Amino acid sequence: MLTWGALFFIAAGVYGQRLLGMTSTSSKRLSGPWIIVLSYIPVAILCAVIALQTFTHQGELQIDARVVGIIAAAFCCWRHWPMAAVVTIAALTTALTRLIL
Amino acid sequence: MQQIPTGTQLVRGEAWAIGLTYFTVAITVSIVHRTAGTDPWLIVAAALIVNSATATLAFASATASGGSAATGVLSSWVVSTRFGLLAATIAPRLWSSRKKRIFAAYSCFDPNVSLALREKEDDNLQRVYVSLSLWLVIPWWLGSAIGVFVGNIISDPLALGLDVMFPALFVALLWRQLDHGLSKIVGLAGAAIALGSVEFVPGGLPILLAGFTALFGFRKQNTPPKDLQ
Repeated sequence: MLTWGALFFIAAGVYGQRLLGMTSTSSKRLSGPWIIVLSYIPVAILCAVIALQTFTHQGELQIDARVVGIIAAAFCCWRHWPMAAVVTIAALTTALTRLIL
Repeated sequence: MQQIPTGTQLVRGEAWAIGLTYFTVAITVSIVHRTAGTDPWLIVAAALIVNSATATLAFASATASGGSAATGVLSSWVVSTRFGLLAATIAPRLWSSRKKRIFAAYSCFDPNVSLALREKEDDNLQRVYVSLSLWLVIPWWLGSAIGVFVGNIISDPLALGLDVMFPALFVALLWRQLDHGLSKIVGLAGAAIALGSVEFVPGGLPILLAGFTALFGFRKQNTPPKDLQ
């Protein structure tokens, strides 16, 4: 259970990392190839987050209704549907799959 | 300030989808914390001060499974390493003013960094970053506060499929960027490394390891992801 003391330590660590990243790099210090490498970091991180939030549960691999929801999201993206529709349909599909299973 | 900065690639639908998702996920996170017996004021304070779902959830998960408070705090720091990486990614194109960066660090999330990086001009990138930060943070705070009070009504957020909203939003954010050879390689390799290591290393590290796939960007004749060209 979260406590006030823990909250302040968590906040300090999370903000500290953000601040470190935000103040430690500048375009003057980075060369072209490094800027391109940095531009790929969000792609790598977002793909990892998607994979972990879809295929794992409490640190263990698991396949369940979430996979169906993400497939539905991918289908909506492929059809170029609006982002709000992608998110809503993914949630509804997952809920429906859980109801059936 | 305009809700959607003109002359940028950001469209109203994207901003609304992001706001809606963060609002809904904030409600879910509050319910999870309420169920664990956390004080309502503490949940609201966590949303305002920590500004990260994964960090507080990692703490709750670690302590609920028998870990000490120190282990919980450490877990929350490890899962938040990606924010530092994302901040380092966007920082070279943000303002040179250290004061502005100190404020910008507070709202460094995945969606606002990812969508801001689509902009070719640094000025547009900065305007999109600020605008999307508001589209993220305000629904996040509101959802967290509301979640504290509706926790008794929505007892099972999983039954509504709310846990899929985050990854589904990220799929939508990435879709156009993956339409590029090297992006696909980086993305798939990142996902594979994260899934391959998740059972062997502490939470958060799989994401950090996945970040190393960005080094593929050093390949000869490389180009940035499609939307950054």
